[in-house]
Amino acid sequence: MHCLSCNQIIVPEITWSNFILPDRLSNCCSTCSEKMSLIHDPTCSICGREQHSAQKICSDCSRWQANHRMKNLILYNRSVYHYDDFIKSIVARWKYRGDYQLYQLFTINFQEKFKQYFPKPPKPTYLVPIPLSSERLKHRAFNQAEALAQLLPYPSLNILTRTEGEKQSKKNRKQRIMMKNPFTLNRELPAEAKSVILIDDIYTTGTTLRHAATLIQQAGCEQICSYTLAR
Amino acid sequence: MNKYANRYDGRLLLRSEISLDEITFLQLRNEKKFQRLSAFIQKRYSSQLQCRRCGNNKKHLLGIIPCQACKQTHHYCRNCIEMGRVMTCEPLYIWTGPPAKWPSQADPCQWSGELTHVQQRAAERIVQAIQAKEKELLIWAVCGAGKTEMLFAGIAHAIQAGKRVCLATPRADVVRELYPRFQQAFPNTTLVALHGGSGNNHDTAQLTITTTHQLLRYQQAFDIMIIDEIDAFPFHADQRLPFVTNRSVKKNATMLYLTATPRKNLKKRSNKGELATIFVPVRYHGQPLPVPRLKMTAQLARSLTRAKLPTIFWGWYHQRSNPNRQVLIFVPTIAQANHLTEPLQKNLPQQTVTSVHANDPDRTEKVQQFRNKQIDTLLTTTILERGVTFPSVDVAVIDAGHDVFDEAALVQIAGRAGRSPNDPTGEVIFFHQGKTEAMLAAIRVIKQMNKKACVINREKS
Ligand SMILES: [Zn+2]
Ligand SMILES: [Zn+2]
Repeated sequence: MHCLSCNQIIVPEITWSNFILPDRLSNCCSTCSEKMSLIHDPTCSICGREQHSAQKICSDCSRWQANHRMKNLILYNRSVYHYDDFIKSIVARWKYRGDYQLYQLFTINFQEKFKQYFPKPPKPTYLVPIPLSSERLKHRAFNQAEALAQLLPYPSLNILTRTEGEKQSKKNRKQRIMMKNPFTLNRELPAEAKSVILIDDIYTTGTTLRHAATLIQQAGCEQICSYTLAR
Repeated sequence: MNKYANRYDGRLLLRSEISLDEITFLQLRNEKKFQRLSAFIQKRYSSQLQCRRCGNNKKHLLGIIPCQACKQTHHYCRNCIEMGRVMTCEPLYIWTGPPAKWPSQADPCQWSGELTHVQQRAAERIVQAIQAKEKELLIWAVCGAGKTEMLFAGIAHAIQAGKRVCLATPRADVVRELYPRFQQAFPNTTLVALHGGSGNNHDTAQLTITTTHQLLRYQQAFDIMIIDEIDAFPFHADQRLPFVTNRSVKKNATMLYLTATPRKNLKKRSNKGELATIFVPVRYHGQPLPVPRLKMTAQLARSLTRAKLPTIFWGWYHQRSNPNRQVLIFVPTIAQANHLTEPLQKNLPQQTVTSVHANDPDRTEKVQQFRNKQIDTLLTTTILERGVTFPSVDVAVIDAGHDVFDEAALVQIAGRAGRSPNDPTGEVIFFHQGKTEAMLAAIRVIKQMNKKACVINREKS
């Protein structure tokens, strides 16, 4: 087997768990997996960024909480990895270069951390991946948020449509927050949906996720969380 | 139509790499001027797929994607994805319209320098190979032979005949270095320089200087293919590059291989007479190659574990015939280059000492500083074994028996010394703990070349 990230040959260590479940065998060599740095406690109780301070919530989140429309819109976000240079390069290869299979590098951690952060979600819980514009989806051939949602044991709803394709990364925080909602709801939320977890690859300012959450809330869902690969 | 032909003839491109609007493109497709080729080649009687662009057929480098563009689950190539994703629903296109035509020139080469007798001999042989459309010619030229200038006459002949020429080299810095020299030599010929960071990788010209990787985007383009340093990484190590190179040339192309240190297969074919070979055993300044000396160093391993250079090294260092020369010290690993720098600096407090290796972000600057003599002593891994020229250095190899120092590496390393006509004789010394076949073979080859040089010089006089 070869490491998906660096192409080194991996000599797999056979343990009981991967003997029984062969897909538990990692496609990531130990050098690369050490470079993928996990977020550890303590974290901001809202956005899930690692922080070692007396405050429960970080300064970004206190700003969100000060806005009465945004307050508690997303109950909490959790993320698996620090968005450092290494994860940045992996994510760039994954979604921009389009090396779809790289998702296998973080499958196990993405699943394990989900169990830890969302231990008993109310039933039924739905996942809502953040969509790409149809033009970009056609170009990239896959949506990274959908690929992530598929790793989790909950049904996924593609109820959001992205109406504009402007590049977010070119905007600063204020411009992003002021932007009009880039999403629309393309159908009703199932009536029984009590809880929704939004799925995306990266939590940057939290604006995109809150735009999506606004629509989900308007559709009648009260409990909205989000889960991303990196923060 | 010639505009499109000159731009797309011989290229193998993704739709996104063809900068034509959809209407023009469709029209050209209808006129059968572009042909669509499947992204993957399926070998007959085998289930194995191969990427048409890069030749990759390794399973772990053939990805599978549930594609939302075409709603099928299919393959994509992970190996060449850096150059845009090739996948089943993202095919490749080749130009099938009229062939490219280049303006005719009576005298394309403006280079006015003079060749040495030995260079002249090689240049004539190259012209002959191109005129007679020979399939292959090995140009076995020692480090410092001045190989670029030897090529000019042959290239000029090819351009006169309206042919298309490519010089492919494994390294981007060689592309950057050669570009202005070719521009000066062939001022009226369309010329393009391609490497990963060059930005204009969609240009097409009669004369192409490129890294071997960029040949991925060519199919049956070139009449003359010159492969520089055919023995070097990655050409030597990656079997897909020969696949790509062979695809990039026309059926009756002439292949010229340039090397100072051919690997086994070429050497064997050359010795058997299966591969036409021209030797250039003399440097352009006419002086023989410095022959490496071997120095048994019993306490080598012990010194290195203590991050010290052995006493025997210092014995040599202080008794060099010309203490003004800079010193280039080769070590086998990056770790050793790092560990030895500080102690070495302590031993040489009057001097500037530093180290350089492949992962060093300041690599280019350090090499430049050494060239400017702002650095006196440079510790390096094999990354400086070839391609770089310093006018006046002595060269030491520490632990020359290490696996990284194969015959080719040692010949190349020795080739760093004595490059300048003003100081044509640097010292080369291998510190070792037991002779290896690689060391002996390197010395043998260097002596052979010097002997060949004597014969040629005798013939001349
Ligand atoms: Zn490929
Ligand atoms: Zn497809």
